Amino acid sequence: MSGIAAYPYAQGALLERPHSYFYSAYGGAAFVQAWRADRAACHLELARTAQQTESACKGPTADCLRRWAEQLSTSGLSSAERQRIDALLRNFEAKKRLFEDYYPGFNSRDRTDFQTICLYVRFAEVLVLAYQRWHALPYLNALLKCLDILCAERGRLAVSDRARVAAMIAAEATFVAALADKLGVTA
Amino acid sequence: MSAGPRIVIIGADTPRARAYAAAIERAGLGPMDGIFYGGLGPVQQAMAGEGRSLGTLWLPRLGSSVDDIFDRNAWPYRRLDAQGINDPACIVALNGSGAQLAIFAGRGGEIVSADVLSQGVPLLHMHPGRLPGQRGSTTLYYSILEGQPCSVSALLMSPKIDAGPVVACNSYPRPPHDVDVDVLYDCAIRADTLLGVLRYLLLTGDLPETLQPGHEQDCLYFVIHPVLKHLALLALHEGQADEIPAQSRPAIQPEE
Repeated sequence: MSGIAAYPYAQGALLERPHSYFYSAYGGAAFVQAWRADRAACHLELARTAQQTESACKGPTADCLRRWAEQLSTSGLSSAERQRIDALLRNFEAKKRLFEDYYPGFNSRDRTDFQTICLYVRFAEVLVLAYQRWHALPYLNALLKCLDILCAERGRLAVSDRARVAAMIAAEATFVAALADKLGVTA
Repeated sequence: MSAGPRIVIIGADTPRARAYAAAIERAGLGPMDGIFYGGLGPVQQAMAGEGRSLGTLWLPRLGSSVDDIFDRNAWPYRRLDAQGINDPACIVALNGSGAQLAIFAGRGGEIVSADVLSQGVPLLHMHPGRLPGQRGSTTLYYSILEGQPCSVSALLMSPKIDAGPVVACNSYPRPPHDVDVDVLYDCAIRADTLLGVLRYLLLTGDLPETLQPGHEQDCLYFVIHPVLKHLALLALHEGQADEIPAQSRPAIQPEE
């Protein structure tokens, strides 16, 4: 139950060696503080180097994620489309990777094309919007994992995506703080 | 116990299997048959609360291997040269066991193949979470975060995960902050629900009737992120998450 000085889950080549998150060690309130500090450092770095330019993220998965984000923003998402989001979430949770293209049912067409970092940005945006809409914890759970990847890989983010990730880190902090408040946790 | 339905525990020497065997031993519900694979598990350090009770919920001792428990009760068992439930040796052993029911006590995340499930021996699994609403992994933490009681569903396994018929579902007080949730509390509530099913089976010769699914939203959960896990555990520490009235929430009692 000793305190944890550093948050260990947003470091290293996470796309090559994903975390399983099984049986994670308990570090008390110090762990939550370490997570918050790690995310704050990531946010600061991204905000400092961000540029407001047009973001290019193309391909079948990118198009799908963009459409979901638009529909979630405008309340125009069907239950069938929510099931598709959940199917992609299930695949992401199993592999901790996103692929440029999938077969129906979200099995990847090419197991090696998981390095397109802008897909993780777009997926995190969908998770933010989904959690805001439905308040279902699986979306927040996946968002935390996706932002672990994005913070670990922040050196590869396009300048046009850095402000987007910084905004999602802020949203994530708000969600976690609201949940902690609801539970009476003061960490 | 006189001759009743022949029941076999099949699994690895995991804390879960040890908890099941220890709980059955303590309740006097043996003998059981055993089919074990994967070698002996590591020496388990004693955890706070082992051997004591939370009201009627017993926190099992996890220090004895399944072999030790079966040996000291003279219950018959086989230890196979196999690494998982889907190994052909396990399938052959299950098929030839003559059991009317197998209690599955495999490793966490172990997927049981259709071959195993088609041997004519139903596999009974204790799933933490209220089915069909709470499918998937680490549901105890999600229950705490969502203000729900911690539950266990006893189900007969089917090829689709967490989708077989549910024969029992129990809810439990949330764990005190000083009891390990991942292993000790998880094993304890699974074992407790298992005992209920076994008592019914040994008394009547049948499993309880299948429960009709409720109307709750079906949700699939995945391994909880450490930040959310910490919020759940910190909520237990700060005593804010428990909806069970303080007067009905059992404190740890000395072992009987």
